[in-house]
Amino acid sequence: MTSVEMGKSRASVFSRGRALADPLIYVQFAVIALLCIMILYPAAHIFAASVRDTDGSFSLRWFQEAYTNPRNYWAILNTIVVASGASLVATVAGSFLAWAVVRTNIPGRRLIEMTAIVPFITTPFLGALSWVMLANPTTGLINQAWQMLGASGPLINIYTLSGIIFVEALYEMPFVFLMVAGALRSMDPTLEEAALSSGASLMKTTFTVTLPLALPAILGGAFLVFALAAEQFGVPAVLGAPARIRVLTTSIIETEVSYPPRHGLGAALCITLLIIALGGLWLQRRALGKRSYTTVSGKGARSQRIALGKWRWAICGLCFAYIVLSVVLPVGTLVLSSLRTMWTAEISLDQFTLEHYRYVLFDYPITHRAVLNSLFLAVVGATVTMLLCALISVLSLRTRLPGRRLLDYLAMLPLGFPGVVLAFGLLQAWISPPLVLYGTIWILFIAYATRYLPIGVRSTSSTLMQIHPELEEASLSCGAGWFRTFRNITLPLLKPGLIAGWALLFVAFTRELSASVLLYSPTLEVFSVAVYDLAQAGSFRALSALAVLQILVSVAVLAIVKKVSGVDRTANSDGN
Amino acid sequence: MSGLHVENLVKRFGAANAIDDVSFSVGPGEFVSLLGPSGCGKTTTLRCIAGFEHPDSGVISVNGDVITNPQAGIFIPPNRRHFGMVFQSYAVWPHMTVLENVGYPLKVAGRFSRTEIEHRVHDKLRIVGLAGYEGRYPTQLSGGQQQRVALARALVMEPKVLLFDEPLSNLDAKLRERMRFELIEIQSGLGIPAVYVTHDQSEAMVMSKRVIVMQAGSIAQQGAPEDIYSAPNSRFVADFIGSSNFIDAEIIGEDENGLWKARAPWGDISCTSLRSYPVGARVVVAVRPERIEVTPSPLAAVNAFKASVKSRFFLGPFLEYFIEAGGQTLRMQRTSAISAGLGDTFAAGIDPVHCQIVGLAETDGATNASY
Ligand SMILES: Nc1ncnc2c1ncn2[C@@H]1O[C@H](COP(=O)(O)OP(=O)(O)O)[C@@H](O)[C@H]1O
Ligand SMILES: [Mg+2]
Repeated sequence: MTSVEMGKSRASVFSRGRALADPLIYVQFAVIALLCIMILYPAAHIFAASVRDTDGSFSLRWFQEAYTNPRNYWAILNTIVVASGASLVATVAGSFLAWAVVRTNIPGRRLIEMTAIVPFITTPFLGALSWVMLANPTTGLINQAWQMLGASGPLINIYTLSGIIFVEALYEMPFVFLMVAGALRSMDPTLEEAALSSGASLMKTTFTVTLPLALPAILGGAFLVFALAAEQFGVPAVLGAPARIRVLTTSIIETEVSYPPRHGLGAALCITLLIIALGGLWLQRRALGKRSYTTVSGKGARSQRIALGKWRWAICGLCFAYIVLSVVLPVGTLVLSSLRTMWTAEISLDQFTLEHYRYVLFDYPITHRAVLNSLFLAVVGATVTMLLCALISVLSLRTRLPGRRLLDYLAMLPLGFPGVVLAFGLLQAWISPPLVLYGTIWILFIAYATRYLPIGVRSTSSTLMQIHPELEEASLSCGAGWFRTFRNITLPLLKPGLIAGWALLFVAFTRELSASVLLYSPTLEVFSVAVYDLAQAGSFRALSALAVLQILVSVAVLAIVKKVSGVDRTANSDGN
Repeated sequence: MSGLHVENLVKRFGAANAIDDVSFSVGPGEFVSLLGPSGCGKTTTLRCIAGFEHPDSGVISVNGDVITNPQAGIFIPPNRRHFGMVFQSYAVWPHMTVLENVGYPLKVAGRFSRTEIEHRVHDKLRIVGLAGYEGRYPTQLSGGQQQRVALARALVMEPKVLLFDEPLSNLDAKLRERMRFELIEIQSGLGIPAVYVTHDQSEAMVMSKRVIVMQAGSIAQQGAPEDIYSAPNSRFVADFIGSSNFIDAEIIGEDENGLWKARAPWGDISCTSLRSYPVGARVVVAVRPERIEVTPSPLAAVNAFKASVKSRFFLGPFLEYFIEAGGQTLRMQRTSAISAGLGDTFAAGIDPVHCQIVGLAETDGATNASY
């Protein structure tokens, strides 16, 4: 059979329906209904709230307030400034790093490539917290050291717009790096060779051929970072508050936690943020849609790397500076502060203690509860979500049910929803009858499952596409029904994808902040909310202990999963 | 009405007809091959029988029970059909041992104890030559062994029908030839209908008493391999099964033996035909390369003609010559060399029985030689 034939028969595994008699169609209806309740119902609440006056009548006053009250329009402008700034910095740095790693002979390339996993180690939120400890204008380590050297006044102040841009760019840059490195790697080397043989120098070729060809990926990365930075809550919440710098995410939270809450204004701001984020994602898709012409073929020898001569050490130094700023300094700061009794630039051995760990894990009831709640949500939530993802993948890839496109579309929809907006919608939807979920752990459960559904579905779908559909058909022809085939054949063969997806969700669930901060309720704190509370209270040493624990858990889970799925004998399961 | 019956099967994908009115029957114990080039609808036909595709119309029945009839709203799902199917990709589950793979249909049936399952699996593994491999995982088996696991799994359920979709196409040539004989050996003892899909004509001819040749979703010809080979009813079949010389000719009447007389480029020839044609019709005559003789036998002398040797190739079991007669190049195969050298002229001849009229010549543009 040719691969083309395999491709088309792939869509035809389970009996599919012209007929409503097909029992699968009811499963599909149920899943679509569930997704509508999870995603569309809260979205509808946001739209309704944005045009409803306090007396219930239709009105556009909330939008008017959002765009004319300086407090609000500054938040919108700040959001755009931060998103554009972070996008610009991350794109320039990320593209440069990708080019250096893929195309030049700088030393330490393998190590620098690890930058791709930086977001798995620390979140922007934790990065912001550690940068507070480093560059707070009065107590930051860097500023203390600066003053010990005899200077007066701070060297850097992180509580500024540029501080926010700096930290966000630091943690969103790897997205650009991955995209541009991928494009550079898959580029047809003969395109560059043709330029070289036409007499262009290597540098000239780089600027006239390589970069223009990588431009779609570069722009794609830029727009993605723009959307991510606009959605970011943790960084502006930590760094913006002391200087009264508002952005949309923090303003939306403010409308809900202040008294009396102003749902209408919150909803109007949500819609504004949604438009900004969706605009970024839409531009990203458009940019990447043009990418095909750069990835002409995978054959041919890798084109030669650019020999940078004495420049290589300077560029290598720049690359390592990124790792120092994003991982070494922040993680080092967190570890140090979690182990010390005081926060000064002078370090002596008698300042070290494990007291903070004991405090957050056992003594302080809020963090104690938060650890348990987060573990429950991460373990049970990731498991249930991945099962749902497997079902969605099978229904959309392995049937010809009429609603399978809709299903796939619904499952990818949460990508466009910033966490704060999603949480705002869920709050409006589930705070009042018929079903009150606010105040229970299930509202967090739904929020996490919804927010990370696209990641889970991608993981299961890409694995499922590698499983030959005849493996499932064989089970049917052996007399097993659809459900039995799903349980006995599909699920076990999906295991590598399920494990990988589960790990991603587990880690994501333990650190989710922007939705949790609206949806938690007293006694139902979660990990990152506890960290956030400690930050508000200024307890940086307890916070550091908690943050170090979170980083350790993430790294450990990813390491274990890598090991487990690496030796799994079903990992290579194409039936041959 | 025992056996498998397929009547007027039609299956469309979008606007295109993948299968267009296909009918055939397979008796109990019979082994029938569906043969045709890639994309002609063999797999789709088989998948309709297995229940993985819903045909648009037509009736499929087995032992008198209708299992598919869209007009009457009948569709038995694949898991209730009880057909054993051997897939092209083997479809052996990598996460189960050989024992679990082969025992799966019995486990699913739910009527068998553990020991009973093990007993039956062992039995079938012995038949396919895999005794002792129960505990292995498929990744520890060669392609041929995985194929045998797939076969044992299809056999263990004691199916009503056996279906094969190009099961040998992923094996190397030597193993493929050995498996052909093992497969028919095993099937012949079962007394159930078997449908075997392949694009390999020699496989189809070796394995089955009856071959169904498919072309673009329809049946082009069916019958015993010998009959199809010696009397193809269309240019497509003559070309697809074995190889043929195609000679453009014009019907000029009947000869004294009641055969068709036609004017070929080098002169008149007598031919046989499955259909009749009016005088003056332009037809295509198919001649197998090995049927062109050098010293014409008395009967073939009817169709004797002069030809010159253009080139000669040695192919091991036989020699292949390209000869020219009346401006047309013909391919000729012989087991021994001929005395005429390159450029020499010699007397050739073809038994009229082997000059088969396979249809009307295509109108313009049809060249008179194709191999
Ligand atoms: N699921 C499908 N969707 C659309 N077209 C299909 C599908 N399956 C088969 N076809 C088309 O039907 C025709 C017959 O295909 P198939 O039965 O697989 O051929 P064969 O097995 O003889 O190579 C081909 O033209 C193929 O492209
Ligand atoms: Mg096929």
